[in-house]
Amino acid sequence: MISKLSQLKSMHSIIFSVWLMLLGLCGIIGGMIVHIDTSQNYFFQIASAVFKVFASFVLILVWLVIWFHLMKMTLIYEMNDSSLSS
Amino acid sequence: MNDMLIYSAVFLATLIASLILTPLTAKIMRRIGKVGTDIHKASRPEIPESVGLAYILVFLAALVASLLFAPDELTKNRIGIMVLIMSLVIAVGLYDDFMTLSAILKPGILVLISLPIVIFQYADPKPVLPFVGPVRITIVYWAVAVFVVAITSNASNMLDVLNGSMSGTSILIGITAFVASFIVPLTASQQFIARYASLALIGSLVGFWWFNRYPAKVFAGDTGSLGTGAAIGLIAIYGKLEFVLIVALLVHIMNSFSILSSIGGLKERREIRSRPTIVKDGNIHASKDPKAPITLVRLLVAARPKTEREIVNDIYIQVGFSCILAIITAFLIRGVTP
Repeated sequence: MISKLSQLKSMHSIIFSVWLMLLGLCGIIGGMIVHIDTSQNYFFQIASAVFKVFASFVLILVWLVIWFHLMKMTLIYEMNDSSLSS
Repeated sequence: MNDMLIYSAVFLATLIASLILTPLTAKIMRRIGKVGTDIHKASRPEIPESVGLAYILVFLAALVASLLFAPDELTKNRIGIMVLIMSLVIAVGLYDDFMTLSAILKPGILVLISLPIVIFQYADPKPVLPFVGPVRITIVYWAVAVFVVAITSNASNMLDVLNGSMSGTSILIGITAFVASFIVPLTASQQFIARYASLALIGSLVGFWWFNRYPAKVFAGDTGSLGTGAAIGLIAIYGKLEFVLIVALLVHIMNSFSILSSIGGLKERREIRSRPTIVKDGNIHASKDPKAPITLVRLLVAARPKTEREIVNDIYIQVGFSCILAIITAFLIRGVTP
Protein backbone atom coordinates (compact mmCIF):
# COMPACT_ATOMS: atom_id res chain seq x y z
CA MET A 1 0.00 0.00 0.00
CA ILE A 2 2.81 2.42 0.99
CA SER A 3 4.86 1.58 -2.12
CA LYS A 4 1.74 2.03 -4.26
CA LEU A 5 1.06 5.42 -2.70
CA SER A 6 4.67 6.57 -3.07
CA GLN A 7 4.67 5.51 -6.73
CA LEU A 8 1.44 7.40 -7.46
CA LYS A 9 2.96 10.35 -5.60
CA SER A 10 5.98 10.35 -7.91
CA MET A 11 3.69 10.30 -10.97
CA HIS A 12 1.61 13.11 -9.47
CA SER A 13 4.83 15.05 -8.80
CA ILE A 14 5.80 14.78 -12.49
CA ILE A 15 2.35 15.96 -13.65
CA PHE A 16 2.32 18.76 -11.06
CA SER A 17 5.86 19.96 -11.98
CA VAL A 18 5.05 19.83 -15.70
CA TRP A 19 1.86 21.83 -15.06
CA LEU A 20 3.74 24.47 -13.02
CA MET A 21 6.39 24.74 -15.76
CA LEU A 22 3.62 25.05 -18.36
CA LEU A 23 2.03 27.91 -16.41
CA GLY A 24 5.42 29.62 -16.09
CA LEU A 25 6.06 29.05 -19.78
CA CYS A 26 2.76 30.59 -20.84
CA GLY A 27 3.47 33.52 -18.48
CA ILE A 28 6.82 34.15 -20.19
CA ILE A 29 5.58 33.52 -23.75
CA GLY A 30 2.34 35.44 -23.20
CA GLY A 31 4.26 38.35 -21.66
CA MET A 32 6.56 38.42 -24.69
CA ILE A 33 3.72 38.25 -27.23
CA VAL A 34 1.40 40.77 -25.56
CA HIS A 35 4.03 43.54 -25.59
CA ILE A 36 4.27 45.03 -29.11
CA ASP A 37 6.53 48.06 -29.49
CA THR A 38 4.64 50.10 -32.12
CA SER A 39 7.02 53.06 -31.79
CA GLN A 40 9.65 51.09 -33.75
CA ASN A 41 9.73 50.80 -37.56
CA TYR A 42 7.90 48.04 -39.46
CA PHE A 43 11.03 45.95 -40.13
CA PHE A 44 11.91 45.95 -36.42
CA GLN A 45 8.37 44.86 -35.50
CA ILE A 46 8.48 41.96 -37.98
CA ALA A 47 11.95 40.91 -36.80
CA SER A 48 10.92 41.01 -33.15
CA ALA A 49 7.76 38.97 -33.94
CA VAL A 50 9.88 36.29 -35.66
CA PHE A 51 12.30 36.29 -32.72
CA LYS A 52 9.42 35.90 -30.24
CA VAL A 53 8.01 32.90 -32.12
CA PHE A 54 11.49 31.33 -32.33
CA ALA A 55 12.17 31.99 -28.62
CA SER A 56 8.76 30.50 -27.70
CA PHE A 57 9.53 27.43 -29.80
CA VAL A 58 12.89 26.97 -28.03
CA LEU A 59 11.24 27.39 -24.60
CA ILE A 60 8.60 24.76 -25.46
CA LEU A 61 11.35 22.37 -26.62
CA VAL A 62 13.24 22.92 -23.34
CA TRP A 63 10.00 22.21 -21.44
CA LEU A 64 9.50 18.95 -23.37
CA VAL A 65 13.12 17.86 -22.83
CA ILE A 66 12.86 18.51 -19.06
CA TRP A 67 9.55 16.59 -19.01
CA PHE A 68 11.11 13.60 -20.82
CA HIS A 69 14.11 13.54 -18.45
CA LEU A 70 11.81 13.72 -15.43
CA MET A 71 10.03 10.60 -16.69
CA LYS A 72 13.30 8.82 -17.49
CA MET A 73 14.71 9.61 -14.04
CA THR A 74 11.51 8.41 -12.36
CA LEU A 75 11.61 5.15 -14.33
CA ILE A 76 15.27 4.52 -13.36
CA TYR A 77 14.56 5.43 -9.73
CA GLU A 78 11.47 3.16 -9.51
CA MET A 79 13.33 0.24 -11.13
CA ASN A 80 16.39 0.61 -8.86
CA ASP A 81 14.09 0.90 -5.87
CA SER A 82 12.24 -2.29 -6.81
CA SER A 83 15.44 -4.28 -7.46
CA LEU A 84 16.90 -3.10 -4.12
CA SER A 85 13.80 -4.08 -2.18
CA SER A 86 13.41 -7.49 -3.87
CA MET B 1 -36.11 25.09 -25.82
CA ASN B 2 -34.35 25.29 -22.47
CA ASP B 3 -30.59 24.73 -22.85
CA MET B 4 -30.31 22.36 -19.89
CA LEU B 5 -33.15 20.27 -21.32
CA ILE B 6 -31.27 19.95 -24.64
CA TYR B 7 -28.05 19.01 -22.83
CA SER B 8 -29.80 16.39 -20.65
CA ALA B 9 -31.61 14.98 -23.72
CA VAL B 10 -28.39 14.72 -25.76
CA PHE B 11 -26.60 12.95 -22.90
CA LEU B 12 -29.41 10.42 -22.42
CA ALA B 13 -29.94 9.88 -26.16
CA THR B 14 -26.23 9.27 -26.88
CA LEU B 15 -25.90 7.00 -23.82
CA ILE B 16 -28.90 4.83 -24.80
CA ALA B 17 -27.92 4.72 -28.49
CA SER B 18 -24.36 3.71 -27.59
CA LEU B 19 -25.58 1.03 -25.14
CA ILE B 20 -27.77 -0.48 -27.89
CA LEU B 21 -25.38 -0.12 -30.86
CA THR B 22 -22.14 -1.28 -29.19
CA PRO B 23 -23.16 -4.98 -28.69
CA LEU B 24 -24.78 -5.01 -32.15
CA THR B 25 -21.58 -3.74 -33.78
CA ALA B 26 -19.56 -6.25 -31.73
CA LYS B 27 -21.71 -9.08 -33.17
CA ILE B 28 -21.12 -7.83 -36.73
CA MET B 29 -17.35 -7.49 -36.18
CA ARG B 30 -17.17 -11.02 -34.72
CA ARG B 31 -19.20 -12.36 -37.66
CA ILE B 32 -16.84 -10.80 -40.24
CA GLY B 33 -13.81 -12.07 -38.29
CA LYS B 34 -12.63 -8.67 -37.08
CA VAL B 35 -11.31 -9.87 -33.71
CA GLY B 36 -8.11 -9.23 -31.77
CA THR B 37 -6.37 -11.10 -28.95
CA ASP B 38 -6.48 -9.59 -25.46
CA ILE B 39 -2.78 -10.19 -24.76
CA HIS B 40 -2.94 -9.08 -21.12
CA LYS B 41 -5.18 -12.01 -20.07
CA ALA B 42 -3.85 -15.48 -19.27
CA SER B 43 -6.63 -17.09 -21.39
CA ARG B 44 -5.86 -14.70 -24.32
CA PRO B 45 -9.53 -14.32 -25.40
CA GLU B 46 -10.55 -13.14 -28.90
CA ILE B 47 -12.37 -9.79 -28.61
CA PRO B 48 -14.31 -7.98 -31.41
CA GLU B 49 -12.28 -5.01 -32.71
CA SER B 50 -13.25 -1.64 -34.27
CA VAL B 51 -16.42 -1.57 -32.16
CA GLY B 52 -15.63 2.09 -31.40
CA LEU B 53 -17.33 2.75 -34.74
CA ALA B 54 -20.70 2.44 -32.93
CA TYR B 55 -20.19 5.18 -30.33
CA ILE B 56 -18.27 7.51 -32.63
CA LEU B 57 -21.15 7.35 -35.15
CA VAL B 58 -23.55 8.12 -32.27
CA PHE B 59 -21.42 11.17 -31.43
CA LEU B 60 -21.37 12.23 -35.10
CA ALA B 61 -25.18 11.86 -35.34
CA ALA B 62 -25.55 14.00 -32.18
CA LEU B 63 -23.35 16.67 -33.79
CA VAL B 64 -25.52 16.68 -36.93
CA ALA B 65 -28.68 16.91 -34.76
CA SER B 66 -27.17 19.90 -32.90
CA LEU B 67 -27.57 21.95 -36.11
CA LEU B 68 -31.29 22.10 -35.18
CA PHE B 69 -30.57 23.78 -31.82
CA ALA B 70 -27.46 25.86 -32.68
CA PRO B 71 -27.97 29.44 -31.47
CA ASP B 72 -26.58 31.21 -34.58
CA GLU B 73 -25.08 30.87 -38.06
CA LEU B 74 -21.47 30.91 -36.78
CA THR B 75 -22.20 27.96 -34.47
CA LYS B 76 -23.76 26.05 -37.37
CA ASN B 77 -20.67 26.71 -39.49
CA ARG B 78 -18.38 25.57 -36.68
CA ILE B 79 -20.41 22.40 -36.14
CA GLY B 80 -20.37 21.82 -39.92
CA ILE B 81 -16.55 21.82 -39.87
CA MET B 82 -16.58 19.48 -36.84
CA VAL B 83 -18.91 17.05 -38.69
CA LEU B 84 -16.71 17.16 -41.79
CA ILE B 85 -13.47 16.52 -39.89
CA MET B 86 -15.02 13.83 -37.67
CA SER B 87 -16.37 11.98 -40.75
CA LEU B 88 -12.93 12.03 -42.38
CA VAL B 89 -11.22 10.86 -39.17
CA ILE B 90 -13.70 7.96 -38.89
CA ALA B 91 -12.92 7.01 -42.51
CA VAL B 92 -9.16 7.08 -41.75
CA GLY B 93 -9.72 5.01 -38.58
CA LEU B 94 -11.73 2.40 -40.49
CA TYR B 95 -9.11 2.21 -43.24
CA ASP B 96 -6.38 1.82 -40.62
CA ASP B 97 -8.33 -0.91 -38.81
CA PHE B 98 -9.03 -2.96 -41.93
CA MET B 99 -6.12 -2.15 -44.28
CA THR B 100 -3.42 -0.63 -41.95
CA LEU B 101 -1.82 2.77 -42.50
CA SER B 102 1.91 3.38 -42.01
CA ALA B 103 3.06 5.09 -38.79
CA ILE B 104 4.20 8.18 -40.73
CA LEU B 105 1.28 8.39 -43.16
CA LYS B 106 -1.43 8.31 -40.47
CA PRO B 107 -0.51 11.58 -38.66
CA GLY B 108 0.20 13.16 -42.06
CA ILE B 109 -3.33 12.37 -43.28
CA LEU B 110 -4.79 13.64 -39.97
CA VAL B 111 -2.99 16.97 -40.49
CA LEU B 112 -4.40 17.20 -44.03
CA ILE B 113 -7.89 16.43 -42.71
CA SER B 114 -7.57 19.35 -40.25
CA LEU B 115 -6.97 21.87 -43.05
CA PRO B 116 -10.65 23.04 -43.06
CA ILE B 117 -9.99 24.54 -39.59
CA VAL B 118 -7.41 26.86 -41.19
CA ILE B 119 -9.16 27.35 -44.53
CA PHE B 120 -12.53 28.44 -43.07
CA GLN B 121 -11.09 30.16 -39.93
CA TYR B 122 -14.28 29.91 -37.85
CA ALA B 123 -12.32 29.53 -34.59
CA ASP B 124 -11.31 32.50 -32.43
CA PRO B 125 -7.51 32.90 -32.79
CA LYS B 126 -7.12 34.76 -29.47
CA PRO B 127 -6.57 32.09 -26.79
CA VAL B 128 -6.70 33.25 -23.17
CA LEU B 129 -3.58 32.27 -21.22
CA PRO B 130 -3.45 32.09 -17.42
CA PHE B 131 -1.81 35.21 -15.80
CA VAL B 132 -1.63 36.88 -19.25
CA GLY B 133 -5.17 37.15 -20.64
CA PRO B 134 -6.17 37.03 -24.33
CA VAL B 135 -3.24 36.95 -26.76
CA ARG B 136 -3.47 37.81 -30.45
CA ILE B 137 -1.48 35.12 -32.22
CA THR B 138 -3.40 35.13 -35.49
CA ILE B 139 -0.68 33.49 -37.62
CA VAL B 140 0.80 31.11 -35.04
CA TYR B 141 -2.70 30.01 -33.88
CA TRP B 142 -3.64 28.61 -37.31
CA ALA B 143 -0.19 27.07 -37.74
CA VAL B 144 -0.68 25.18 -34.45
CA ALA B 145 -4.43 24.48 -34.93
CA VAL B 146 -3.74 22.36 -38.00
CA PHE B 147 -1.79 19.88 -35.82
CA VAL B 148 -4.27 19.73 -32.92
CA VAL B 149 -6.49 16.93 -34.29
CA ALA B 150 -3.44 14.85 -35.28
CA ILE B 151 -1.87 15.28 -31.82
CA THR B 152 -5.01 14.55 -29.77
CA SER B 153 -6.05 11.62 -32.00
CA ASN B 154 -2.64 9.95 -31.76
CA ALA B 155 -2.39 10.66 -28.02
CA SER B 156 -5.78 8.99 -27.50
CA ASN B 157 -4.76 6.09 -29.78
CA MET B 158 -1.50 5.52 -27.88
CA LEU B 159 -3.32 5.29 -24.53
CA ASP B 160 -5.73 2.65 -25.86
CA VAL B 161 -3.54 -0.16 -24.55
CA LEU B 162 -5.53 -1.66 -21.67
CA ASN B 163 -9.21 -2.48 -21.08
CA GLY B 164 -11.12 0.78 -20.63
CA SER B 165 -7.98 2.97 -20.46
CA MET B 166 -8.86 5.16 -23.48
CA SER B 167 -12.64 5.26 -23.01
CA GLY B 168 -12.51 5.84 -19.22
CA THR B 169 -9.91 8.62 -19.39
CA SER B 170 -11.74 10.31 -22.30
CA ILE B 171 -14.92 10.39 -20.16
CA LEU B 172 -12.93 12.23 -17.46
CA ILE B 173 -11.66 14.72 -20.06
CA GLY B 174 -15.18 15.22 -21.44
CA ILE B 175 -16.46 15.96 -17.91
CA THR B 176 -13.58 18.45 -17.45
CA ALA B 177 -14.53 20.24 -20.71
CA PHE B 178 -18.18 20.42 -19.59
CA VAL B 179 -17.30 21.78 -16.11
CA ALA B 180 -14.72 24.23 -17.51
CA SER B 181 -17.37 25.67 -19.88
CA PHE B 182 -19.13 27.02 -16.76
CA ILE B 183 -15.91 28.54 -15.37
CA VAL B 184 -14.18 30.08 -18.41
CA PRO B 185 -16.06 33.10 -19.84
CA LEU B 186 -17.20 32.04 -23.35
CA THR B 187 -19.42 33.43 -26.10
CA ALA B 188 -22.87 31.82 -26.64
CA SER B 189 -21.51 29.90 -29.65
CA GLN B 190 -18.43 28.57 -27.81
CA GLN B 191 -20.54 27.73 -24.75
CA PHE B 192 -23.03 25.74 -26.84
CA ILE B 193 -20.29 23.75 -28.62
CA ALA B 194 -18.28 23.09 -25.42
CA ARG B 195 -21.33 21.90 -23.46
CA TYR B 196 -23.30 20.11 -26.18
CA ALA B 197 -20.34 18.32 -27.80
CA SER B 198 -18.72 17.32 -24.51
CA LEU B 199 -22.01 15.87 -23.18
CA ALA B 200 -22.60 14.02 -26.47
CA LEU B 201 -19.07 12.60 -26.19
CA ILE B 202 -19.52 11.65 -22.52
CA GLY B 203 -22.88 9.95 -23.21
CA SER B 204 -21.62 7.93 -26.16
CA LEU B 205 -18.37 7.03 -24.35
CA VAL B 206 -20.10 5.87 -21.15
CA GLY B 207 -22.27 3.52 -23.24
CA PHE B 208 -19.13 2.09 -24.88
CA TRP B 209 -17.04 2.02 -21.66
CA TRP B 210 -19.66 -0.26 -20.07
CA PHE B 211 -18.56 -3.00 -22.51
CA ASN B 212 -14.91 -1.92 -22.86
CA ARG B 213 -14.08 -1.78 -19.12
CA TYR B 214 -12.11 -4.65 -17.49
CA PRO B 215 -12.61 -7.46 -18.53
CA ALA B 216 -13.29 -6.00 -22.00
CA LYS B 217 -15.96 -7.51 -24.23
CA VAL B 218 -15.17 -5.07 -27.07
CA PHE B 219 -12.18 -3.11 -28.39
CA ALA B 220 -12.51 0.43 -29.80
CA GLY B 221 -9.94 0.00 -32.58
CA ASP B 222 -8.36 2.99 -34.31
CA THR B 223 -11.82 4.11 -35.47
CA GLY B 224 -12.83 4.71 -31.86
CA SER B 225 -9.57 6.02 -30.42
CA LEU B 226 -8.70 8.36 -33.31
CA GLY B 227 -12.31 9.62 -33.40
CA THR B 228 -12.34 10.28 -29.64
CA GLY B 229 -9.07 12.20 -29.79
CA ALA B 230 -10.31 14.24 -32.76
CA ALA B 231 -13.54 15.07 -30.90
CA ILE B 232 -11.54 16.34 -27.89
CA GLY B 233 -9.28 18.42 -30.15
CA LEU B 234 -12.26 19.97 -31.95
CA ILE B 235 -14.04 20.78 -28.66
CA ALA B 236 -10.80 22.48 -27.51
CA ILE B 237 -10.67 24.65 -30.65
CA TYR B 238 -14.34 25.54 -31.22
CA GLY B 239 -15.31 25.53 -27.52
CA LYS B 240 -12.28 27.79 -26.83
CA LEU B 241 -10.96 25.51 -24.11
CA GLU B 242 -7.53 25.03 -25.70
CA PHE B 243 -5.36 25.62 -22.65
CA VAL B 244 -7.70 23.85 -20.20
CA LEU B 245 -7.78 20.71 -22.35
CA ILE B 246 -3.99 20.75 -22.89
CA VAL B 247 -3.67 20.46 -19.09
CA ALA B 248 -6.40 17.76 -18.90
CA LEU B 249 -4.51 15.81 -21.60
CA LEU B 250 -1.12 16.02 -19.84
CA VAL B 251 -1.06 12.26 -19.10
CA HIS B 252 -1.99 11.42 -22.72
CA ILE B 253 0.64 13.84 -24.07
CA MET B 254 3.20 12.51 -21.56
CA ASN B 255 2.57 8.92 -22.73
CA SER B 256 2.76 9.61 -26.47
CA PHE B 257 5.63 12.09 -26.21
CA SER B 258 7.78 9.73 -24.14
CA ILE B 259 7.07 6.80 -26.48
CA LEU B 260 8.03 8.89 -29.54
CA SER B 261 11.15 10.30 -27.83
CA SER B 262 12.37 6.95 -26.56
CA ILE B 263 11.91 5.11 -29.88
CA GLY B 264 13.27 8.06 -31.88
CA GLY B 265 10.20 9.24 -33.83
CA LEU B 266 7.29 7.64 -35.67
CA LYS B 267 7.99 3.93 -36.19
CA GLU B 268 6.05 0.83 -37.14
CA ARG B 269 5.24 -1.60 -34.31
CA ARG B 270 7.44 -4.27 -35.95
CA GLU B 271 10.40 -1.84 -35.97
CA ILE B 272 10.30 -1.55 -32.17
CA ARG B 273 12.54 -4.41 -31.09
CA SER B 274 11.95 -4.36 -27.34
CA ARG B 275 8.48 -4.35 -25.75
CA PRO B 276 7.94 -1.91 -22.84
CA THR B 277 6.12 -4.50 -20.71
CA ILE B 278 6.01 -8.28 -20.32
CA VAL B 279 2.94 -10.31 -19.28
CA LYS B 280 3.78 -13.09 -16.78
CA ASP B 281 1.40 -15.09 -14.54
CA GLY B 282 -1.48 -12.68 -15.17
CA ASN B 283 0.65 -9.69 -14.06
CA ILE B 284 2.22 -6.97 -16.17
CA HIS B 285 5.95 -6.47 -15.57
CA ALA B 286 8.16 -3.55 -16.70
CA SER B 287 10.84 -4.42 -19.23
CA LYS B 288 14.38 -4.04 -17.81
CA ASP B 289 15.77 -3.43 -21.31
CA PRO B 290 17.13 0.15 -21.45
CA LYS B 291 16.20 0.29 -25.16
CA ALA B 292 12.51 -0.47 -24.49
CA PRO B 293 10.15 2.50 -25.04
CA ILE B 294 9.23 4.55 -21.97
CA THR B 295 5.45 4.29 -21.74
CA LEU B 296 3.01 5.31 -19.03
CA VAL B 297 2.21 1.64 -18.31
CA ARG B 298 5.93 0.78 -17.99
CA LEU B 299 6.33 3.66 -15.53
CA LEU B 300 3.33 2.49 -13.51
CA VAL B 301 4.68 -1.07 -13.19
CA ALA B 302 8.34 -0.08 -12.73
CA ALA B 303 8.29 -0.48 -8.93
CA ARG B 304 6.35 -3.76 -8.92
CA PRO B 305 4.31 -5.89 -11.33
CA LYS B 306 0.59 -5.16 -11.34
CA THR B 307 -2.63 -6.64 -12.68
CA GLU B 308 -4.31 -4.96 -15.65
CA ARG B 309 -7.19 -3.78 -13.44
CA GLU B 310 -4.73 -2.10 -10.99
CA ILE B 311 -2.90 -0.30 -13.82
CA VAL B 312 -6.14 0.97 -15.39
CA ASN B 313 -7.24 2.31 -11.98
CA ASP B 314 -3.83 4.03 -11.61
CA ILE B 315 -4.25 5.62 -15.07
CA TYR B 316 -7.71 6.91 -14.06
CA ILE B 317 -6.16 8.44 -10.90
CA GLN B 318 -3.40 10.15 -12.95
CA VAL B 319 -5.83 11.53 -15.53
CA GLY B 320 -8.23 12.56 -12.73
CA PHE B 321 -5.36 14.51 -11.14
CA SER B 322 -4.54 16.28 -14.42
CA CYS B 323 -8.28 17.08 -14.81
CA ILE B 324 -8.27 18.74 -11.35
CA LEU B 325 -5.26 20.82 -12.47
CA ALA B 326 -7.23 21.68 -15.65
CA ILE B 327 -10.15 22.97 -13.56
CA ILE B 328 -7.71 25.10 -11.47
CA THR B 329 -6.31 26.39 -14.81
CA ALA B 330 -9.87 27.28 -15.89
CA PHE B 331 -10.21 29.45 -12.74
CA LEU B 332 -6.82 31.08 -13.51
CA ILE B 333 -8.08 31.88 -17.03
CA ARG B 334 -11.35 33.26 -15.65
CA GLY B 335 -9.30 35.62 -13.45
CA VAL B 336 -7.61 37.29 -16.44
CA THR B 337 -10.48 37.25 -18.97
CA PRO B 338 -11.78 40.80 -19.56
